[in-house]
Amino acid sequence: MNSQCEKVRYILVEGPGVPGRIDPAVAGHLECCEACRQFAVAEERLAEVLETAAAPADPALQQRVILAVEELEARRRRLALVPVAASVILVLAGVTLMGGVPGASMAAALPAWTAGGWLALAGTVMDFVGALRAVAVGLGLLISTPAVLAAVMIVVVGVGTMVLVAKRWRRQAAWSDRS
Amino acid sequence: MVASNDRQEDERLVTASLAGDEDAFAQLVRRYQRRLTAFLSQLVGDVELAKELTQEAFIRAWSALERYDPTYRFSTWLFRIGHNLGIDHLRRRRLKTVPIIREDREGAEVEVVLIDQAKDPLGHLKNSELAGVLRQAIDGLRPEYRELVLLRHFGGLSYQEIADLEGMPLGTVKNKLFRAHSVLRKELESFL
Ligand SMILES: [Zn+2]
Repeated sequence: MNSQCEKVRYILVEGPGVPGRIDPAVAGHLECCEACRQFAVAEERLAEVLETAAAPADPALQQRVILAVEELEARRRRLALVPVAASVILVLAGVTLMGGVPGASMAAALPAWTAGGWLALAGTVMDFVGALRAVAVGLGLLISTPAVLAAVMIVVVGVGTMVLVAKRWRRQAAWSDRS
Repeated sequence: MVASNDRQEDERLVTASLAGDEDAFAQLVRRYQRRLTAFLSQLVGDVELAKELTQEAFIRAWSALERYDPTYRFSTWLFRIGHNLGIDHLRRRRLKTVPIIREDREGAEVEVVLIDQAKDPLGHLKNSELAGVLRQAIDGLRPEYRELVLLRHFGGLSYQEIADLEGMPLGTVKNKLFRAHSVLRKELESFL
């Protein structure tokens, strides 16, 4: 066995990169080397034996895996709601401490899907802005400074948590911003 | 070209999976289930256990998909997860039982893998004589050869994927598989 034989045999053991396509150099060598031809036949048979020895696909297992992953994802989404709920509560607590929202106007606008609902909702938003302005003016008189600071902190933490949760909601690859 | 297309398709499926497309991940499962189960079956010598490990490997892959590094192929990453699960299992089993050690043809010590007939990963072969000889031939390989043969022929990984997974130079993979094939050809001579 010369170095060309050895080179060819390494290629034969590795197998064709594309099924069925034999390297022209290998084919040329096989035409004139009986020993490597025998080697090629044995290698091909060995590859066949090993191929048939590999277990066949199992559709039931595939289904089981897919269901398990779906269940896992559903659980992940349910768990993601916990910080969402917590952040909403934090924001509400902060807003309440700051004077609260004009509840009656908001409640009046709730049937927003009715014909006049959108107008009512717009009115409520204006109410809310007006109320916030009034709250801002009255804050210094009605609420103590530590309470205002606490409220602001709660709102900031709440909004920050909401932003973080919203970012985490969609899974993002660590590599997505690399290239 | 085929491998490159496969790789691009894998990356597309991973990206879609991360965007919440569970169907894309289901496609990855269909692409790799057979090969991963075949590899793990031979590694742990138990088809049913291999199926459980395959399921666990896919679940771990799904859970850690954000951390997948596309420098390597998805198959390499998935097989690394499966491989580690298989090795952990073998380690735990070794702690519980006394391993049976014997010498291989070249005098190196190899652990005998005890196969339960009902769970034999070669049990699906119609030719039981071939299954028996093949089992002996594979188990008789040095562990370093055996692992590469399993990754190559049961896991269907390319030489480069094996080199990446094992952290081994490509040339070493080629040499080891070349020698492993010599042993297998000799052992299976009457079937080739
Ligand atoms: Zn030759």
